Amino acid sequence: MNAVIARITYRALLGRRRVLLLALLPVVLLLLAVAFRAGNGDATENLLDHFGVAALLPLVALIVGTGVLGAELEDGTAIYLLATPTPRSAIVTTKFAVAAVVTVAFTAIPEFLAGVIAFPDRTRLSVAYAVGTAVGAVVYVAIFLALSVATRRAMAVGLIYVLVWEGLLASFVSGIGVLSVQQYSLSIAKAIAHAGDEIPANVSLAVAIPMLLVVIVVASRLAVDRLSGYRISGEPG
Amino acid sequence: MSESVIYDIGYQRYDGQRLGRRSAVVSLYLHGLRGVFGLGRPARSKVLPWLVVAIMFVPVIVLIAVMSRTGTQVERYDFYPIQLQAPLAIFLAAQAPELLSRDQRYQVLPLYFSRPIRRSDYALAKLAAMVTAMFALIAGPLFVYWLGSIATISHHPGDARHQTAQFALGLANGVFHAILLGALGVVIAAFARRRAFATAAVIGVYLITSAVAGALSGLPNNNGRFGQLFSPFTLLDGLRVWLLHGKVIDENAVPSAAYGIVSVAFVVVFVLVLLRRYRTIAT
Repeated sequence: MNAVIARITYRALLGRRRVLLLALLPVVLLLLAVAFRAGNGDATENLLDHFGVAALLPLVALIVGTGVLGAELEDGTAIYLLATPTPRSAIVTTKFAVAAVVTVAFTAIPEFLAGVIAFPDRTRLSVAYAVGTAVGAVVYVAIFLALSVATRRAMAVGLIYVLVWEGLLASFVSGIGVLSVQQYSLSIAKAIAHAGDEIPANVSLAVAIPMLLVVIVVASRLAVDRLSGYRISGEPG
Repeated sequence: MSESVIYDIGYQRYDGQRLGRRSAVVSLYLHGLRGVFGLGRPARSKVLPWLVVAIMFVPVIVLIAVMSRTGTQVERYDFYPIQLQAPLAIFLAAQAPELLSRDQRYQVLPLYFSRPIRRSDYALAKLAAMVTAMFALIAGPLFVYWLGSIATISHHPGDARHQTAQFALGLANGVFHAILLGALGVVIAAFARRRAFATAAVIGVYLITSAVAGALSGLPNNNGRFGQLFSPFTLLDGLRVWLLHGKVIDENAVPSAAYGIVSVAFVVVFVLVLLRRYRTIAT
């Protein structure tokens, strides 16, 4: 961990236009929650699951996860960071930590607030979805950070994973849930919520927790490896 | 040193035919269309578009296989785009920035604008390229499906005629999708210098509007159905039901003429915003 890198990353992440896009998404969730409260809607899965876990979470994680390091690598300014004697593993760890904190702040907290606003008498459910979202945020960010070091088109590859793998294929083949971050989140939410709350998780907690730990470790190792092999040559772009 | 002289150092003049504005626009369009599919670009630019093309064709091939076994039609032409909306959205989000953002990022717009094309020509040629690409992405699988249906389940000339009529409706539906989606993607990409931003913005609009439309439709008092007008694929589906008298998927839809009005309004706004963007863009 490196405090200077953390501060610069944080500023780069929230200092530009991106913060507007990032803030817009949770605001939409909260507005929807208000609409649900006014309209007395009772379908939790529409708000907290379809919007929160399936759309808001991967989208914010994708923007943040590919932005913390990938943006610098793409525009060539990363070499000023890589040329310093900071260990590459420390760079990855720091970027990962900042991305995880920001993503959790922009997904899990609004998710909790939306739950409280829309379903005031079901706090346990809101907590469950918030915790599930927070864990999912960390796993997603680890994957997207590694992708952004491995490929220049991390955003597009990440989108294919989220939309095609988790969205399209998982609805046909339930076994895919074992390799779906979305399912890990739902599984954790289900474990926390009351037994009566219907959370559509099709992976058990005993599978989800080891799997998500493995994913985080493998993704960070990959990111460190790829970044260590990053050659600095020639003029900055 | 007082007098400067321009020497004729023997460069050859160009006395060939000048092809002019029309030809420039056509080549810009063709170049854009090739670029969307990564043709004429390095192999790594081809991976993503052709992966999506492959994803678009897989269901059609499965459907034809099923039809040849069962002998009955298992799917309709007009459901194809809405069921494969995820790959379509990915293609748009990934390739529209490829078409527009790179020119801004590498600052080559002045080179284009110093040629005999107008700024609006540039914008419209790029838009046309994206629309054509989206149409090809939808029409290609439909064409194969049509061939497959003729080969497997059409036993009388009447069957084949029926298939062809359905195919034509599917193509019309594809045109609507291509125009609205293409305009949406291009207008967003026109505002982003960074490809990743544009991709995130296009996909953000798609994911958020469809999730909002989905969530609102869960409201008990039925006012939430108006959310369908503001999400591209539900809007296009309403348009299909209204104009092509297609089969209804969603029972509690909005009065159908609204879909037509809103679709046209969106396309007009997108095109005007796009033209304005390129009229005022700093080069």
